[in-house]
Amino acid sequence: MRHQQPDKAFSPRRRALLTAGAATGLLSVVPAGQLWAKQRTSARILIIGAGAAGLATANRLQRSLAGARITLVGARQPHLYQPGFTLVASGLWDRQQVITDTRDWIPGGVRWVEADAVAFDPQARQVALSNGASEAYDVLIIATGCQLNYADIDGMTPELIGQNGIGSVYASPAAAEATNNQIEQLIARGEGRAIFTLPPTAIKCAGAPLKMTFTTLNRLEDTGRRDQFDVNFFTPFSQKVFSVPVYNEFVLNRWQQQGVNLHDNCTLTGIEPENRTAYFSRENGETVREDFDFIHVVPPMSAPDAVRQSELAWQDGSWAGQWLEVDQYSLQHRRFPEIFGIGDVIGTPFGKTAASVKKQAPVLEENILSYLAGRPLEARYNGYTSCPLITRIGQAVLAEFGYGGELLPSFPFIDPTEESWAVWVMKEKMLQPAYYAMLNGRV
Amino acid sequence: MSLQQILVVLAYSAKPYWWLIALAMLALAVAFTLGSIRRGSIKRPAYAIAAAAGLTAALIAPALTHSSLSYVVTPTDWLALVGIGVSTAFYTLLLLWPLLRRES
Repeated sequence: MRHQQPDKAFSPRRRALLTAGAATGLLSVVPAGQLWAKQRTSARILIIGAGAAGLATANRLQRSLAGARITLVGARQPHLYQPGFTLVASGLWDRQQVITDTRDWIPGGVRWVEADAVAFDPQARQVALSNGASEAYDVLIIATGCQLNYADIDGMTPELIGQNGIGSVYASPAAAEATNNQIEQLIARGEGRAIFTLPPTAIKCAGAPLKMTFTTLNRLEDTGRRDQFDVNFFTPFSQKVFSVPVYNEFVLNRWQQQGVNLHDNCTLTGIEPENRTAYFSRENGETVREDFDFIHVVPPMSAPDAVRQSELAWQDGSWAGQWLEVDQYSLQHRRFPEIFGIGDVIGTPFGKTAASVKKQAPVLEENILSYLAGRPLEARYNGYTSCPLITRIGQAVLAEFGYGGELLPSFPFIDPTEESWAVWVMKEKMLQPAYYAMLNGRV
Repeated sequence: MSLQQILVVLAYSAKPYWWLIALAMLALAVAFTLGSIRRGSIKRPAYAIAAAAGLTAALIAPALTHSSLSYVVTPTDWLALVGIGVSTAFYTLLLLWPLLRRES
């Protein structure tokens, strides 16, 4: 007969050990700030923009402040996971995979106004909204994202995406899906001329136009008839398609091997959809006509009109009248100390990706807490920008860099210049959860 | 990236697969319940089955991520692939261990 062993699972000693272990685990996982008392304030904090930057900021401030009246302003109901658009446009993801409900990310205690900002009055500390109301603030955070200026290209509108060989990954999940359909039509033809473009402005996710070129090339190569397709990339710059030299060189070399024709100093200025013709202006003012079977249009971008037409925009320099004027390190407005900026809207040398927001949000949080407490603003954003640069479907390079083009690798075991399957898995499987953790203010 | 951030991201990444993890745990519990009457050493075929399962998992992992085995090139890639293979083999062995023991 076997004897029953005493139940060790619930012995007091074991329980004490487990409790101590759990507490240690909690201490290592929960940010230290959450274990301390919240900072008290009665300030009215107004966040303009309910996208990634606005939601991450709202969640962080709601957690770190007590008594603050936080209002989030943004009209768009669906929340869009924009880093997934290239995967939709490459036929890998369904568009529903990038859509969630904005409401699901708004923390309790934060008021959501479903409207957009139409005018800023920084002297009166008021913002006029598209619903006719206006909101007063003590601290204003501008997180509107950027505006896609398709209209700056003659004959181009977002409605044309998905017709006559026109694609553009940026406009929406539906546009990304329509772009994929146009690429599939090109592949089905078995031959044709594909054109990829870059605008002369700063753009969000500057890797996206390159990724679209790479994934399309990959799909054309998979047909076994790559030589039947004429692939061209038009850039407004001289021998430049990416701001960081090491990645620029990598991409240009790879494209040379893959037979991509690079056209320098060419800016897309017009399009005739029915004729499938695009017009590019050259440095010398000459206009060049190019026929296409497929074209990937990347629109010029800027801050939304409400920002760029206000006195909050840069007043001089290359970003004048285009982007929000902030100090590139503290993210505080350079002329209105109660105003801060985060995300795609800010005029800084780098920082227009979701990964940039991940690094900007804690800096912004810390500096706003300091501002409210009357302390000097000490947190600094280093320009961190990251982009898993897809070089073919199934492989990517984890490009991570900051101000001055300095490489800022997050993981010692991943070479920031090497193509890798592991990086692809990160892009395809782990970036979206990391993004959602960021929205919740958890990373 | 700090350890805390990596753990948070892993927890968020695992969210869609909680049901699968729960199912795997349930399978282990069932195996241990069914095999509770056996006390002997494990039969040899269990090792072969576990190794085959690990190898299969490693070979199909790239394809399951829209990639290909030929794109597994860097030391990190290989380490990840070996990790997948070893974890799968270990789980399979754990699953078979109570079931493929010689009866006492």
